[in-house]
Amino acid sequence: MDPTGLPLTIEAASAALRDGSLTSVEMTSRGLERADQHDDWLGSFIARFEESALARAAQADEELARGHDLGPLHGIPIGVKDIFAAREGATTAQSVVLDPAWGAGKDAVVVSRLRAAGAVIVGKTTTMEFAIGLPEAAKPFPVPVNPWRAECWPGGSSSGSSSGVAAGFFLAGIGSDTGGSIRIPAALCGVTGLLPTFGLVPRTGVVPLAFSIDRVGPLALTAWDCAAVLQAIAGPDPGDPDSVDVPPADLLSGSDEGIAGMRIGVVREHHLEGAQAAVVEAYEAAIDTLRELGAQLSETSLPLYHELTAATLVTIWSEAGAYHHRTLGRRWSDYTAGARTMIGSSAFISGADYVQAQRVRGVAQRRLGELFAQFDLLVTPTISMPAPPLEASTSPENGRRLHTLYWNLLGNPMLALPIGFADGLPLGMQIAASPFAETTLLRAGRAFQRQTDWHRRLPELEVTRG
Amino acid sequence: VDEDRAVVQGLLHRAGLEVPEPDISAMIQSYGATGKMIELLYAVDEAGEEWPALRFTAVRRAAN
Repeated sequence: MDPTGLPLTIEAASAALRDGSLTSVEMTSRGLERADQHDDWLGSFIARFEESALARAAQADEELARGHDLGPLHGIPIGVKDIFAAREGATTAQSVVLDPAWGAGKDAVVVSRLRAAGAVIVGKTTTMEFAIGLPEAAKPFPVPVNPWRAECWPGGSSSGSSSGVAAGFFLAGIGSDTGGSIRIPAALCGVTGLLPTFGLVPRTGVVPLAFSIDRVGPLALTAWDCAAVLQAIAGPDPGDPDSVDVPPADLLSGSDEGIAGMRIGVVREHHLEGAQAAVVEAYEAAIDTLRELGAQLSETSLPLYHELTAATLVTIWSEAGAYHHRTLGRRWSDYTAGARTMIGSSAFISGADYVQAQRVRGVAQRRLGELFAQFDLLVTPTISMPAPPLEASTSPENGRRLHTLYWNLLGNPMLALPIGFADGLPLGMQIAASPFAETTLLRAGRAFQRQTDWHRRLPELEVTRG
Repeated sequence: VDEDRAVVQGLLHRAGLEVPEPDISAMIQSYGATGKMIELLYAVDEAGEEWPALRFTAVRRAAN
């Protein structure tokens, strides 16, 4: 339990709900009360569903009391990024451009699966406009800030789902990742984020950014908690043409088996240049921890690092340009500056350029597959800096310190987890596995988090607020 | 710079985007950055890479 009395993890809360020391109503209420105290400056929520959440929490308590147990998410409060449809209210994608009727009265498949697993949906969380543009104070939406330092960027675009977990508003957040939107806020807010294999979690009922890249995944305090959420939301869905027709693996059993003997490739090239000493030290200490846990480590490089990063941006802008073509032409100034600049840059990319990006994608996938014949896992820093000030979050220099884009075209699963602090702000590492090897990934995350306590350090919101 | 401005305005117009003047300098900057990224993509071709068959999904649906 933390000083607020909230359990820190789904794993702990789930046990407490079953041994009678906690009720879902108590836990949900405390999270919402905490949001009452702090969300005016933190900006995690776009909308809160107090009434329906407390009703569902009461129902969960009653169900558990009579032995009707839906699994580890039963009675657990969860926030959902506001690009997912939820029947309680409108979906905005944090944009005045999206048709208010979009998804009205419906649930995204992921949301309906969370409900079926007994989760308590406490509200919609802040993002960047259409999961790409930076928030602007002039727009009618909260501007999310970092729970560790309010002047700093919380990361995006799953900003509120990440900051809300760090703040103790809910125990897990649902996010999406097209260029790093789960892993970046996980790193900057000091929580754990899971990017599942492409196709494992359906996007049905999710506002798209880039059709061939978008992925959905959880943010929580631990790898185990992320696994519990993924277990509930993974699986085929006919509404998503890229949904993979395989049942999800059993992610929780075997998560304690450790990583002794696992072959882990350590990436430093292109990732640490110009990083401050504390960033390098935290990464090297994390590598040492993996070694102490019995992994066999050796240095490696990522094939086509700069080329694939470029291919990712070309693909995102092109696909987003197609989706927004009609509205961007008519309502340019209604979009935020960041969103319209990036999506509008699709005008500079030809059809041949887009196809060439997909060819580079294919080459890189093949070469990375060859690399994964040598390694079970690869590790890199998620971001080689702590959270930058809000106004500097998109500077070119800071952009070069985000190491997430490379992976988005590849489709491999990744786990982003906290590894330390610099200047009082969290730092993160990302671990990649072969497609569909989530069990290996989560074993590594679990082992690392049993050996370290970075993921258990939470911001003192009263101090951050000042 | 004037040449870039004319090219950028032409491409935006062709894409159906009416971009107001205050945003044009940001779009010129992005035009330059996008051009550099595209050069990187074709540099892979020049290296003589053996291209795999084109596909548009992130992972093979081998299990289907």
